[in-house]
Formats: sequence, C-alpha cells, structure tokens
Amino acid sequence: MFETAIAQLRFAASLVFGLPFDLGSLERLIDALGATRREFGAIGPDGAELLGGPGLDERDRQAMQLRRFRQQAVRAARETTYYADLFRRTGLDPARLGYEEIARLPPTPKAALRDDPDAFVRRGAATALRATTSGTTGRPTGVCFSAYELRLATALGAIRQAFDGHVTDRDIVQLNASSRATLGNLSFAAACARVGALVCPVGLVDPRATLALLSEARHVPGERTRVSVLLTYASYLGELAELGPRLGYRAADFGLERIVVGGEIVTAGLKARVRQVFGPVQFDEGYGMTEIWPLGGTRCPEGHLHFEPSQGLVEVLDLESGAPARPGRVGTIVATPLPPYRETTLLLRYDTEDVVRCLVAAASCSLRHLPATRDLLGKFRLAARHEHGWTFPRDVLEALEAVEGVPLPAHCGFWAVPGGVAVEVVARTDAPDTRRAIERRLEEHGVPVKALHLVPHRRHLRRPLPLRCDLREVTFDDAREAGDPRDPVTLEPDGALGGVAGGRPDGTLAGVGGGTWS
Amino acid sequence: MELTASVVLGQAIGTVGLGWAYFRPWEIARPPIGVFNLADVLIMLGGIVLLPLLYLALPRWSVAGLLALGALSALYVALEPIVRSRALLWPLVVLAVAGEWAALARFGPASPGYFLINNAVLVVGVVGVANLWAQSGLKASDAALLGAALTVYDLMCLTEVR
Repeated sequence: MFETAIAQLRFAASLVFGLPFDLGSLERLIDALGATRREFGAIGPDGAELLGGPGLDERDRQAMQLRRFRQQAVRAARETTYYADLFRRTGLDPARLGYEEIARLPPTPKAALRDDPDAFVRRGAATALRATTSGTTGRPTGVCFSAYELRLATALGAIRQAFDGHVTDRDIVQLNASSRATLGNLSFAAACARVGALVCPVGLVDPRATLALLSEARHVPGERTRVSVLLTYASYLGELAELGPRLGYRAADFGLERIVVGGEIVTAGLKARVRQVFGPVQFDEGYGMTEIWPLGGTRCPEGHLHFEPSQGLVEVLDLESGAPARPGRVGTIVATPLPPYRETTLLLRYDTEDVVRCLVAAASCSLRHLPATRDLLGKFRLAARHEHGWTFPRDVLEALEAVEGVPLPAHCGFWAVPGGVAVEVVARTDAPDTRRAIERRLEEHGVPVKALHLVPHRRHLRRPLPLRCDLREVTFDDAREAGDPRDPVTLEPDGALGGVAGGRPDGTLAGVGGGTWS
Repeated sequence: MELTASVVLGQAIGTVGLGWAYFRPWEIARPPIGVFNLADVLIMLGGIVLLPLLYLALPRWSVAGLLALGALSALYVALEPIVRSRALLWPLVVLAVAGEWAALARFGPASPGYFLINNAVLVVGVVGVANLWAQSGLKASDAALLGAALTVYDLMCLTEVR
C-alpha cells in the first residue's frame, strides 16, 4: 500500500507536470490494481480520480495544454526537418505561441507524414519500431516509436484493463485485426497478457476459421472455457455475424462476453445483429489511430467521444471554413499528441480527416469532465456534399446495417447527385419490400436519397466504401481450398452460402463463391 | 501488581473482542488502490524500531505533537464509519485527545483517572488501526509475522532497559 501510494504520486506527477513516466511505478500500479481487484472484487470509486488526473476547468486545461504544446513545438522546430521548415516559413516562434495562435500553425496533412515519415522523427531519438497504419485511406503510413513509448503503451493499456476489469486473468482474448496494425495489436495484446489474460492473435483470416476458434472449447486451467474477449473491426465482425447462423452456429456455441471493436464506424444495427448471433455481449468502442497514439477518444454510453486533455490537444476544424468549429457544426479532428506520451515522431496539429460533430451543449454524462464531441461520422474524403448539406458514411451505414435485407457488413457506396445522394448497396434481394425498408431507414437518418441501387454482389458496386475486412490474411488452409484464397467469403444475397452443401460449427466448410439474385 | 496485570490482560482481551465486534458491521474507508502487504509490514516494523530513536532526538513538544497526531488519526479512522457526520466527528476526536491531555495535566501520569482516559483512547485507536489493516487486505501470515517481530522487539527492548 505504501509502495502503491508512492507509485500513484509519481504517476500523478507525470499527468500534472508532464514529467516522463516512470515505468517501474506504472508496473507497481498494475500489480496493485490486480491485487485490489482480487482482494475486494472492484476498485473503489475514488480510484478513477487517482488514475485519471485532475479534473480541470477550461482555463486550467488550456494553460496546461498550451504549456505542453509549446514544449512539443520547440522540440519539433529544433529536432525535426518538417517542422523546422514549417516554423521558418510561418515565422512563428514555437516558444511564444499563445493558445489562440496555435490555430495559425498550418495543420499537418496526412500526405506529408505518409510521403516522408522520417521528417517527423526527432534527431537522436531512440527509435525501436516503425509501425504502419492499415492504409485503408491510401498507402500505409509509417510512424516511429521508441522502446519507452511502446512500454508506456503496454503499461497504460494494462492499467486501463486492470482498472475497468474488462479483461481479467481468467479471460481468453482473441485478436482478429490486421497484422499490419502493429502498434494497436502489440499494445493491446501485451496489456491483456500483463493482466494475466491468455492472448490468441489470429489475424484477419477466413471468418469460418475465426468462428471455429471462437466456439472451440478450451481447457487451460484457470481460464474460461471459450474465447471471452474479441478484438476486431466492425466490418469483420459483420462478416462473422452474417456467416455464423448460416454455418449453423447458435449463441450457445460461443462464450463471448466482450467485443472490442474499432477502426471503422460501429453502427447500432451491427451491434443488435451481432448480439442475435453471439448473445448479450458488451461492446467497447473508442477512437484511436497509430499516428496520434496515445491520444484517442473514449466513447461514453451517450455516444460522445471524450478526449483526455493531458494526452493531447484536440481541435475540430470546420469543414467549410477551416476555422475552429462552432457548437453543433461538423469538422475534422486535428490532433496534437503531447509530452510526456510522445517523444519520437512529433506531430503538431495533425489532420486526421476524421469528421465529428461538435456538441451543442456541455456534456452531462459520466465523463463530462473531459472535452468531447459527438461520435465519429467517417472520413472526410468519403463524405458527399450536396444541396442539403453533407452526408457522411455513418449516416448511410447506420441506415443500411439496421435493415435485415442488407447482409453484414454493409457493402455500399454513395455520392452526391442533384437534389441529394445516390446510394448503392449489396442487398439480399431487390424486392420492393427491401427497397422500401432501405429507403425508409435512409430517410430516418437524414440521407436525402435520390437514387437507390440495389446490387447482388459487391463487385457490382461502383464506388464502394473501403472495409478493413478486405485486408484478408491467407493461411495454408485457404491455399488447399478451391478458388482464389484471397477472395473474401461472401454470401448469396439471400444469405445462403454459394457452392456450399451445408454448414457445421466446426468451420470445415469450403468453396464459398459470389452471389447472384435468383 | 496482580491488579495491574489483570487490568492489562483485561484491556488486551477487551481490545481484541472489540476489534472483532467492529469488523463486520463497520467498513473503514480504505485507499481505493492497493492492499496491505508484506512490504507495508516491513516498512511499519522499520518505523516502530526507528521512531523511538527519532523521539529521543526531537524536542519533547514535537514528540508530544507527533503522538497526538497519531492518536487523532487512529481515533478518526475508528470513529468515521460510526459517526457519519464530519461536523460531529472532528469535535469528538479532538475532545477525546483534549480530555486525555487535561487528565494528564490535572491528575498526573500515574493517576487512575489518566489511565482510564488514556487506555480508552488506546483501545479505540487500536481497534481502528487493526481493522484498517485487516480490511485493507492484510494476510494472516503477514499479521503473524508482524506479531512475532513485535514480540522479539519488545523482548529485546525489555532486556535492554533492564
């Protein structure tokens, strides 16, 4: 308890004063959290305040963030080639920036980092890993991290898991994410392992293999008897939910309790349909990306994205004007990860191209002490501008994935046409009922649909939204099966498996092909 | 001599009984993170050994202040779950310590009146601290180690004093 108190003080010093984290103290905190949970079953309510840092009013938050932004900007101007040039061109003095002047610094575009990632790495930094993004919005981007940052990622993740109790030493955790998502995979897996869970990295393999693994009985002493926690993307989860019932799986075949899902828009329809397949699972959603790690959004039950101010500065820039977005307006997230979390790849005002809507009024949820926006609306480059305003991927996906006639994940596209948008989507059938249901849902979600194209297969889509489930990883089992193993599993529009005689929960089916409406 | 021994023994038994009776109905406010472990026992033993030496080096008023602070804290810990009103709790704790001090000043350190108040404060303090340790996850093995070490320490001190 005495050691824990010292470790908490050290942790608080890093949060409050921006001192580098002491990794030994973080390890002691993880042990203490585990011991507390084992002894008492839960962490006391005051624990959140001890670990979450002080609740700051607006003025103090701005002062703290300005201090750390300056510190990071001075480092960046002095030790990276990109920002040395930027500050020279703009004539801004990084050490004397005022809070309002931060907005005068031009945002860093994604392309700049993608084209020359080394220009953002501090001279003399002890680089240990160049993580890449999954590249769904273009060529993957490389971001360098030090060993300190990697260990910090693990430790902070483990503290979060140990505090929330969402992953415990009895859990079996399966990771179905792209193996290229190195930072996320490494830190999540190591954090889960640190709290004692059994981690099973699987990757984005054939969903049949994943379903088989999820339903497989395990006999590891002290662990649950089936996979209890799944980490994956929304689109891959949709594939599992779509395929499971067709292969004869029922909720009783699984032991899933929690699904950590991110990287894409997670819709209410997806969650409802996933629960029909896997039972009453909990969802952990959030917002994060390799480039701005560890700065990320925590999603509260009211659907806000909350950002921890000590981790970074989050601005929302209006889509139209590029100025700070006013309450209720939409804009892109421009993020600056701050010290002491980031020390290798420095990014100031990084334009994530992720669109959110600003809150109209102050949040009243349990995380109201943290700055917040509404939930993610999707990538800016995938949005459509029309006479009535904007339509974002979330608007369309929320509508489509709520319709049973649309197989999961919703393979779709949309674009602006005179008077609104045209929407195309893979549907089980082009029957009038399905069409009406889709149109009604789109209208309910404010999509001014002027043309609706129902197609039997994704190959008929003209402008499909990118889905991470397409980052399929091939196994030797795939190679033994007929057809091109890189073809993702697809379903006939009516939900039947093309070319398959029937499904078995052992997942031994093969030969799934494309679909046509009959 | 027999009466003194009986009082000491009775007080010890009474303290254990009260501590036991206290344990179930009252929940002491423990730190939200961490459990009382072997490291804490060792740190405490170090304090028990070293603090008296520190007292010898400090002026008497500061020693009295430290002891009063310790007594106040122990009483606070013990009474907080029972007296839920903070407005009432602090005056009560201060009153108890002030009463002890007044008895000392009025009747002297060897008077029955002072012993009565001092021992009552001690019993309540010990009940509170023992419950804080027990409710903070102190293991029986660590408690046994603490008890054994204190016994050895007491014997050594007693031998040294003679």
